[in-house]
Amino acid sequence: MRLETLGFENVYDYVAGKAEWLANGLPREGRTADVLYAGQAVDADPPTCSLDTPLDEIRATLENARFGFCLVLGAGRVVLGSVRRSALDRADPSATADSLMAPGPSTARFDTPAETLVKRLARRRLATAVISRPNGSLVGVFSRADVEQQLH
Amino acid sequence: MDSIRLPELKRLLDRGAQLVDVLPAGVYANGHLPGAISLPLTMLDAGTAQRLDQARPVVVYCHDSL
Repeated sequence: MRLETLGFENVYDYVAGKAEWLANGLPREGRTADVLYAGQAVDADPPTCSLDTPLDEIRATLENARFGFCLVLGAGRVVLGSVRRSALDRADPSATADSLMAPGPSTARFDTPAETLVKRLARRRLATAVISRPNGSLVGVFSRADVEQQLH
Repeated sequence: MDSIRLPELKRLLDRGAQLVDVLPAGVYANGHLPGAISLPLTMLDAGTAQRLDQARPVVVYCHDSL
């Protein structure tokens, strides 16, 4: 049965549903509302640059950074790629992020339970994961070591 | 029934729309959008719909579009 057949005139379907809502890090209620999501446990201010950022600037950004990479962001802070510190050593001094980056880094969803992501990263021997929203915009960088400490 | 996306949902909620979770009750209990009313699709009839105000917009949702 549909609400319209019961006399309701203004009925809308939020088609992307709960999955999209949670993946955007919006509030939730219910028994699992206290489960820590990956997006709640990120460093929200990791090293970032844009496509036209010159090598020298990226090097300076990474000099005292805790992560060994600089995320390349486009309009709306959409994650386009990442420049690893190691890519700077042999690069042309006139290079910009555009030519230095590895495009399309894999990302995890905001609403991945933090404990699940810690285990996933451990299995793959990875230290970090980039967390993004459904539109590709950056939430932050999830550090396995940080969250392991938080959880135990 | 009109399909809406997140920005329109937020606008409707600001205007007092009622949010209805049509997922099974157990799924709703585990987690739902703030303020949503549980009205599982299989339970929807004239009686259960009385929990809703016909004068206000209603937005239904499930897990995703699949």
